[in-house]
Amino acid sequence: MQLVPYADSSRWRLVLAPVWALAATLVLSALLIAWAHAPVGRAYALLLQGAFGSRFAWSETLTRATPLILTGLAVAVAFRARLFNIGAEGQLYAGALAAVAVGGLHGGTGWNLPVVILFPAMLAAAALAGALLLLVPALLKTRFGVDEVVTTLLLNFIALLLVSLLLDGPLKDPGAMGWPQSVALNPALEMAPLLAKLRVSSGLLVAVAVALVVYVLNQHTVLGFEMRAVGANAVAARFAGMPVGRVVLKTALLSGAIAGLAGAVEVAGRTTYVTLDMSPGYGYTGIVIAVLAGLHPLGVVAVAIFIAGILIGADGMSRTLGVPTYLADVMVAIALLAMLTSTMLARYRIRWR
Amino acid sequence: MIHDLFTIFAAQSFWIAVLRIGTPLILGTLGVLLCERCGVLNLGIEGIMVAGAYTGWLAVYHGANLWVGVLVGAATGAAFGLLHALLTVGLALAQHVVGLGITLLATSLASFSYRLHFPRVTTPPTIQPFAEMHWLHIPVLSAQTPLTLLALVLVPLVGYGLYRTPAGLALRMAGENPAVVEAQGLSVYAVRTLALAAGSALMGVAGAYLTLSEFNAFFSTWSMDAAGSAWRWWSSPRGGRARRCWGHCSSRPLMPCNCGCSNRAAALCPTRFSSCCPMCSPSSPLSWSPAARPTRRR
Repeated sequence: MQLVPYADSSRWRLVLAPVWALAATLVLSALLIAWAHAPVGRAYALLLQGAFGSRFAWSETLTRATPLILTGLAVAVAFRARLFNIGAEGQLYAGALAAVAVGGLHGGTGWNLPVVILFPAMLAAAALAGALLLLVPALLKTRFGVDEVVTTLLLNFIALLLVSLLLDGPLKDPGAMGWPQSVALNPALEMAPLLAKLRVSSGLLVAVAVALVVYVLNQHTVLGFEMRAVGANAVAARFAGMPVGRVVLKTALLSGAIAGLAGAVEVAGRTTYVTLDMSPGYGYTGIVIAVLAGLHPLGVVAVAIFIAGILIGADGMSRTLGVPTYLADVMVAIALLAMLTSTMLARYRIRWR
Repeated sequence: MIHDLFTIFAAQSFWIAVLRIGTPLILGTLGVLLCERCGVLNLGIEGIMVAGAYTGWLAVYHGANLWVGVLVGAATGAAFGLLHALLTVGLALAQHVVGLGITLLATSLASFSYRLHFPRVTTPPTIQPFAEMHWLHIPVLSAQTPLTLLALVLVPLVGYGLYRTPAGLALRMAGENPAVVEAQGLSVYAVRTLALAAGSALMGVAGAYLTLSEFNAFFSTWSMDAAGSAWRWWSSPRGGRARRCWGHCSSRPLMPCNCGCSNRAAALCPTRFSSCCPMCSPSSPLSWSPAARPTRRR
């Protein structure tokens, strides 16, 4: 078989691609639901209701979506410049550690700073930690041509082990009765809930604001143009006089900073301390989200809320119908593969020889 | 300190453990090697191993022979390898994104199917795993299972196949210079597809080793499901001892159980947190230091 690009570049084929992907996901997941002997229509209805059916459901979905928006943005920014950052998970943990180190040690009072300064400092420290963690693979890539997929992926485990080390060492909470968790954040630094009696925090606003900033950066600045040019064709970008290596490094700093921020927002908005199981793979889900959104910053926000909805909705559906909650993960995986396939088939047609 | 290191390296049990932990790595790495050499990065290995571990174990749980279980694991791996090949070779999609997608898909499918088959188990169902090869009478090797032997035999075999056979040459050529493969009248698609299927089958066997030899149950999801009940027990007065050793026990669920129970991993021990761990064992002092660490049986 051979892939042949379509002669006409029609727009509706690209627009319809996500629709096909969604349809394929729903059909394939319906097979799994039927395998679990549950009514398919009711299962999807319950899933929707659990995700978006009430104020509480919306709050839970948006709470889950907040870190996903940020990791999705981190991945989208990097992928756009063809820097394949698989390490958002590790950068998130690095950011969370930095946030707790600034805002939690000695109750955050060790620095003798007012909250007005300490809060931005906490966010900045988290962004810096994430950025520095991604700077290492980016330097290795630009200097020595080391494959960043492998280095960023493996740095995730290093970051996680570092968290484990610190949770048993300097950041250990002595009052946690042996649970491996870090000292808690200074309560004054916690992000307030957006709505009364609900969990969703103002971290959501931070995430959406970052998405808008990335969008503007992408579309209306020189750096954004350079990042897109390097991603589209690095050789052509170099030929046009762009410093490709430096653009890749800047992209890495930006991507790592956003992922680090995700860690800070999680700590300040939800957990208030760091644990080893703080992130159920937000960094990896971020890759799925970025790809599903076509690397578009505003698309990331929508897709992150959609994915979070599936994950949250599946919980309630599972309790009612007895379909295992892992259905949500299967759906996300199928959606990713289907989206990749359908966008490819929107641009190329298969010619059988 | 140095003396301790020498004592550890000189101990036979150390090398037994090295080989035992190394076996799935040998098998999985051989699989990745085949994929990488033909020019495809297979990041699906994590999920393919989990899926192979699950289906191999499930086959044996339903009464199949252990070796049939290994074959089932291999077939599962090969199936995911073919899916990977369809997407990355046939449709030329991004290899690392597809690889992560395959990992997510295979892991969650295995967990989904496991929960469907065993909706309400708190202790994972077990099987009779591979026996150690006592008949072999070679010091370290006789404490291993036949799958370790298989892994060790496969290393020179794969090496020979890659470097001394036309098929191996075609495989390496597909990775280093695909145009030459076409010039030789071979299909790059076919070579890469077969290499991915074969490599992923090896990953499936690596996973099957985990459930059919290293342990006797499938429990990659078990720790998560048990978290809720563990928490309730944790807050109870009896949980106090466990609270102190949590950092030791829970972070090492794969630690071989040395409490005398038949389970091979501490996490599967029915007397969880009580006698598996030297720190929470009622008879031992509540301090845990390397010196107090009991040596492995076997």
